[in-house]
Amino acid sequence: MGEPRATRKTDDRRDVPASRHFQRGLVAGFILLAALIVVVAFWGWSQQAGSIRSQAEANLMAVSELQADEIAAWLGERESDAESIRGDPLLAGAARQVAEETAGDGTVTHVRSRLASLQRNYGYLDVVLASPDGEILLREPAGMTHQLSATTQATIAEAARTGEVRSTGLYLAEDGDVRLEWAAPLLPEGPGGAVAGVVLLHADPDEYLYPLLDEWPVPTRSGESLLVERRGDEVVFISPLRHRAEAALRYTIPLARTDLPAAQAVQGAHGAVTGIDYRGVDVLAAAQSVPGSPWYVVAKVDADEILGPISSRGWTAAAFALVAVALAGTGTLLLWRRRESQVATALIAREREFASLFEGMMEGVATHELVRDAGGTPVDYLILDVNPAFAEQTGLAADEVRGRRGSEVFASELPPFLDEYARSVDTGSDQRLEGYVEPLGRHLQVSVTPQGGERFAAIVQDVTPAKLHEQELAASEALFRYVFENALVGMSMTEPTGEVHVNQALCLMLGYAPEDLRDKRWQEITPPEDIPEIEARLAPLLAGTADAARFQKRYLRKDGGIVWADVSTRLRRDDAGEPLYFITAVLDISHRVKAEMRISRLNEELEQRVADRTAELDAANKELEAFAYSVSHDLRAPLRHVSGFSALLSARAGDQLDDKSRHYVERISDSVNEMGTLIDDLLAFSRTGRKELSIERVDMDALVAEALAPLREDTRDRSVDWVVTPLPPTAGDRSLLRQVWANLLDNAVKYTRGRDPARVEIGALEEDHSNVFYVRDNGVGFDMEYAHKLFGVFQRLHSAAEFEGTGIGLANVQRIIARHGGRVWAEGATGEGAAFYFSLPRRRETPT
Amino acid sequence: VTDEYPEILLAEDNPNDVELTLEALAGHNLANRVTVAGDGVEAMDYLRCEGAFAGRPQRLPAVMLLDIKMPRKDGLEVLREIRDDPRLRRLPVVILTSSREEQDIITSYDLGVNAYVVKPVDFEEFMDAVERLGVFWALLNESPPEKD
Repeated sequence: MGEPRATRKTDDRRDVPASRHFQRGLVAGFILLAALIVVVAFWGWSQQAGSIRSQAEANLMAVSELQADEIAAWLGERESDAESIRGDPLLAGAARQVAEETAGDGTVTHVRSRLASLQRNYGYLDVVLASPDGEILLREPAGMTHQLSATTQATIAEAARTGEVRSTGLYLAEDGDVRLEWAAPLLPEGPGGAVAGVVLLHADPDEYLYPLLDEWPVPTRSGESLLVERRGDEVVFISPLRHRAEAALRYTIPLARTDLPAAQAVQGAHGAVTGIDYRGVDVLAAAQSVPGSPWYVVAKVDADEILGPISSRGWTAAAFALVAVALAGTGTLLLWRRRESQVATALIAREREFASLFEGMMEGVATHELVRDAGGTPVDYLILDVNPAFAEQTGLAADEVRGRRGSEVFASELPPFLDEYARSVDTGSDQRLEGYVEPLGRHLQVSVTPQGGERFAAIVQDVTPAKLHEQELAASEALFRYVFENALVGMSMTEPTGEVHVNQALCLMLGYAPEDLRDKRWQEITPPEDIPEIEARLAPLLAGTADAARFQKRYLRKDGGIVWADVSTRLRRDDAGEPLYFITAVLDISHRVKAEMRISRLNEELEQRVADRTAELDAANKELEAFAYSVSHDLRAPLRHVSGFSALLSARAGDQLDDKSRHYVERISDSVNEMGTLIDDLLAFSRTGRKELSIERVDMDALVAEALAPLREDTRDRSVDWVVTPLPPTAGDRSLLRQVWANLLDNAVKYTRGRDPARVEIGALEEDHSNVFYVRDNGVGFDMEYAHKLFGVFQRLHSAAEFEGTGIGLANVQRIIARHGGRVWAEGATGEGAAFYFSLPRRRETPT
Repeated sequence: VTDEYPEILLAEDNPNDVELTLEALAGHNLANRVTVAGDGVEAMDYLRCEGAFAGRPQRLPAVMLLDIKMPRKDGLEVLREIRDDPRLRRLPVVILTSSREEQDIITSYDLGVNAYVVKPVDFEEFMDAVERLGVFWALLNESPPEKD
């Protein structure tokens, strides 16, 4: 049990890679931080070291410069002392007297006091008046007894010879004394004259010169200044040394020892240098030449003194860095610990989660161990444990399977999925399987996860219902596809992207092979100018405000032709309500549309033709008007002239004409009158055709009464029975309808002439859509054979001799009734009277 | 033609009509006072004393008998010009025509004609009508004053 658990633990750790990452990051962070601390500490220290060192160097430079200046000043003062003596003629004169031993006591005293004042005021060890050959003449203070050294003698001789001030420089006298002297020649006769004597100024280096080297304006422990001078190949230390007794002028080093700053100084080095001093100790030094002398000041300080603080600070920085690194390490460790405990807590929580997941999950879980034969071939598996859902998913109770072999459980030599399980174990990879498990009668979906060694877990789900549903779906899909493909109307499925899937009928309709239409969008089989309108029609479907749409649409055939289609479409959506595709039924209505288009084109043509005809008619009417005008004017004029001139003729020559001639003139006159009547009737007839109808409500009873009045007057001497029955009112042009009645009644009166009594009936019949009015008489009647001629212009059935008339009256009646939309007809028989009818359409609303 | 006697201006293009009209007016000794203008242009020249009538004394006739159908300028145009002319607008004008056209009658009255007479075809009636016109307008009717 220990081995798998360890594996399990490792696996779980792998499951929390964040922790691993975190720890790795923690260590890296710590290393980085430590390095940073060290670098910062070192950098800070080196900055400080640099600054300390440069400060020390600056100090040394300042000290050496200061001391060199002071020494130079002191030397200058001594020089000027000597010069002032050289230029003193009184002293020179007095000195000559002393030298020649001619001087009185006063003179000697004067010289003595002068020498004494010099000695006292300027701190000389002693001041000597010597003869030019080096014999001491006078000495102040008189107590000094040492011999003049050879160097002194030589210098005095030199001063006496040249008449110039001369210095001995620092030198070691024969008695071991360090001396520094100036010899000033006395010139009683002025410069260039004979030398009367030499005054020797003996300075005390211990008292005045060397103390200048001890003056350090900055506190120092090991600071020391020395004076050096080059003599040949050697460097001579001409000042006392702190660490070497009796060194002044006695201690030398070779010029080649350039590791000593003193050697560097006399060879012209200037500024700060490092090296070892006369003790062999490391020092930092600065050299400065003393102006007006062969001397060099070397100010030095032990390297220890400078580097001491630097190294101590270095230690401090190191200590600080160490502490900081230790703190960072502690922090890192704490974080690490905390994470460790978090990971541990998480692991426990995950264990618990896993347990509850195992117990509570819907999918069945079973852990297995593969069983192999001696040759290592997988032959079976052992079911170790199952969760409660396993029973539900497989129908196998937990007790029946736990601890048993697959072959037992499934009662088969090779239990289900053995090969696949073995492959998962061998490759260590997850797998998803699906299959029908015969013994269970179920379709299972299995996820296999190897758990290390021979162990693996299987997550099992019963997908039998889903499988059944899938099969049903496939069947229904196939049915749908069959119906879709084989429908006799065009069908298409259009995706929201525009891609269409069409059936054979639609392919045929559009002239495409099915493969041509694959990947085509509906916009590609639609005339481009129609696309916006169709999109507008589909918009409500996409917006969800309509379920279906039906409209007419044009399709573009492959050959570029147009197919008119009646299109019904419906948008199918998925369960989430997202549009899937439009299902569209397409009916080819090209024939119908073409027919409709032809009809509409014909209608247009017809309208055009009507318009043309109307224009022609208008033109004809205009012509007729002009004709009538011309008739009324031009035709009547000659008639009138004929009438006029024939009347004039009969008036003028009436007496001379015989009866026959008079008869002719009368015939002319009658004919003219007749023609005048004809013209008037013709004009009236033409006017009824041209006059605008003014339709109003017409009281027919009143109209008939009006028309009858003159006739009743004319037939007073005849016996006429007027039978007038009430007439319905009608709508029409009052004045034209009055002409109708007048004409018909006139005729009735005319053709009943000779009847006794004449009978004229006026009445009306009401038919479905019209009123029929009639005038019936018992006159001469007419032969029905010629009835069709009754209403023609100038057509007459009786001679003018029998019944006067022009044959215009009935033509006029027919024209007026026709213009009202009615009809005229007549019935009659020769000798038995006639009946004239006219119908007028009954208007739905007769105007009042 | 004396100044005292009223004058009749006959605007008529047809010589037959002129002759018959003059015949009709002869009865009352009116014929010799008639001036005939062959068309509308001549009639206007006469009334305005222009053209062929430039030297004519400035005097308006008692009445103008005006035919409608004439060459160049017809009777209705002449009537319109007369009524638009401040000097001529009060001139009595009688349309004497063969036209019984309603439109002609309406237009004439709208333009301010004084009378509209259709020439009867029958000569007796014609004679009678013209004679009565002449007597009425030349003798009975008081002409408008010459001055404005």
